[in-house]
Amino acid sequence: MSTETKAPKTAPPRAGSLRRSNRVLAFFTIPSLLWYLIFTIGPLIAMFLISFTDWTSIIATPEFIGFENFAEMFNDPRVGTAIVNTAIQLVATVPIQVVGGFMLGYFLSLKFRGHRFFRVVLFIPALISVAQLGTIFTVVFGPAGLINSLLTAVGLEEWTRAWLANESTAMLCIILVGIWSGLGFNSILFAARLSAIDGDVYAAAELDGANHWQRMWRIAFPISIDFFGVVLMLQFLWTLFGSAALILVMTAGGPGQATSTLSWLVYRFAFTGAPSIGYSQAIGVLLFILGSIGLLIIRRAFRQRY
Amino acid sequence: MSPIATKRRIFASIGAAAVAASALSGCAAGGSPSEDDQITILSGWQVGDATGDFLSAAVADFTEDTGIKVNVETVAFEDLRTTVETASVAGQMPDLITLNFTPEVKPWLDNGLIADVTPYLDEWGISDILLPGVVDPWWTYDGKVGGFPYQSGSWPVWYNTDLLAQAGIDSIPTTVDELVVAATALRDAGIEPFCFPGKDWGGGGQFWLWAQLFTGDRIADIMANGGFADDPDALKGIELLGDLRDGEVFIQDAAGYAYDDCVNAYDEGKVAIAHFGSWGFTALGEEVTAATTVAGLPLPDGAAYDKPILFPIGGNGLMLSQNAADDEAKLSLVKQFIDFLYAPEQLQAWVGESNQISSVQAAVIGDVEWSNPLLQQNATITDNNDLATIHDLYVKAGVDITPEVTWFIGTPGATAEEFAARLDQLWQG
Repeated sequence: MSTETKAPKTAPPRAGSLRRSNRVLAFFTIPSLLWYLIFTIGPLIAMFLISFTDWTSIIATPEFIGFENFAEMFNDPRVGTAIVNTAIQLVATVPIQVVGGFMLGYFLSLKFRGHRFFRVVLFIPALISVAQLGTIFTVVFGPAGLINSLLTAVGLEEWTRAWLANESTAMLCIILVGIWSGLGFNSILFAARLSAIDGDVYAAAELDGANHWQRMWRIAFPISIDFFGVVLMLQFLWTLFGSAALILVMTAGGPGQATSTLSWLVYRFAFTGAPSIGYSQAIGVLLFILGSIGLLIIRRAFRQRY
Repeated sequence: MSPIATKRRIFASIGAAAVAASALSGCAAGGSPSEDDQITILSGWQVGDATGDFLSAAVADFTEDTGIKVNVETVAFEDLRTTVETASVAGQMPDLITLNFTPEVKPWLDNGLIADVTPYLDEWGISDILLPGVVDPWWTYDGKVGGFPYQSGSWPVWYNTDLLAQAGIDSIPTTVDELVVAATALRDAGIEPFCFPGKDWGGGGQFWLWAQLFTGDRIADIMANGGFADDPDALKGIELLGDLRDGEVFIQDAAGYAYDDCVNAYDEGKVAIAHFGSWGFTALGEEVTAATTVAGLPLPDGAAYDKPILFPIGGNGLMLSQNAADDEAKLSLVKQFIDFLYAPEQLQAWVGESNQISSVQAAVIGDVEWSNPLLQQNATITDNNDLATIHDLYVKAGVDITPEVTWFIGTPGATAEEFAARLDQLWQG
């Protein structure tokens, strides 16, 4: 006897009722759309508008000056130095944070004995605020800090120096702190994504003689390439836009211009010395354009191809 | 409200949001809205410190005497500027602000945030009781005065005579040659000689002292316009600083030391000489305080000064908001409070209990003694030392030399010409 059951048939909704329903739903999105327009799109538009003004501080009256800020920006050696420093920071930080994070995430996803402990350890930097992070590493790299104490203890006293005050080591310190704080967090993100890959896929590859390196880059990476792109994009944007906080606490852009990045200049011209908010926002526009270009390249390069 | 003010406010509002969105937002707490029957003060004087405790006690006494309520909001000094400007945009300016009048806050006068107190200094009888010169740091080029000076002081060099004695040095160095001898002896005794806070504003301040050794008060022109590379005397001062850096007169890795690091190193007896302001006289331990002699920076041969030099400092005072100045009733309340603060009883508490240096003549303050020996020394410090030109008065607004000073102090072998070229670029920016 057949036990087949028939699914009840439902009539498709009529087009008119669907449109009405969509309008009602759209109505409920208005508050969040307004919020988004006012607090996200608004400041973005304001950034562009302010970049065309000479505005010395928020208590002064802005004056429209056309493209003068941009003309000055392209002739300003401080901006040129900041572009180079920003490029160095991105190239040195982001690949290590993302590729290293992916590799660590792969091993965490294998759920080896003690992996939970390592997950906690790797996540700890994400629980430390930028201000704390900067303070801790200012002490670590200070003249009487951990690094110099260790070097002295092992008889390498001649290697000691004021790491954050030395033109050849200050940016390296900022980069190392950035890597330290981002690597573990990325590994947790990747571990979460890679844990979703069916273990049979790895088992089959192992039967075919694939080692961990091959499984990591020939199986896990292609499967999760879109996620890899998202993490790369986020890390790129965080480093490009967010470096000012760490620099503010650790070096204030010095010594000289050694750690001055574009993100730092946006802060510096907006808030320190004799502020020049219009000029600061012109640099902000440059950052926005660079960020958008980088974002498009990353999205295009790391699209899922199957 | 005028169209310009409206435009400014609208622009300021969206600007504040934009700047906060694209950079780090500053502290945005505003002062309490000013009410007609009370005075509001935004203060950098922290409760728990001598200055903050003085203000709290003075406010309590004033309210008890007059019935006028005074609402004090405390903000960290480094956040005061942002807080005042944000409060202004929000229409919540406090009536009074306790702060020193640095180049960064001078635009407040031009933009109508604070009032020119010139008429009140005279009408309220304050000019008559102030020490000569204490208004100078509050004066702007266009003849306005930015506030009521309350604190004054100096920024001398501090010598730990116990540590110098341990190294076999029995007198305070008054020449650079003597300083070098002392530094060598201190190093031989395992003591760091001179703390140069190369990492922050403290090093910037000390740099200006070295820079004017051969220029004298001509340095004011360089402070305003730059031009180190073209001034042989300024170059000589920088060259001397470089020689002392390479001669290990300064603490090892000086470029990594902030002002507070130097204070701690000095207080812990790890360094024998440092350049600190009189605002820190009461912050040291008793033993180090007793061993300290304050004096000027030693002079090289051919210096433009006759005696070792130190900075006079303006210190904190009270700025009056333009809103309060424009409101007759509010101004009357403020006048009562200012009169109260400048009365001998409060000045005696400021000096005797809080161990602060007053901007008022000793004859007005009356018979009061400092319990702190450094304050006693400071009272006669100009007998044997010359006053240098303080940079706060003259440096072009927006020029921050600190990163370049960090570079110069942290780069052995860096020449005066290289440093001068880098500095001059800052004035061109």
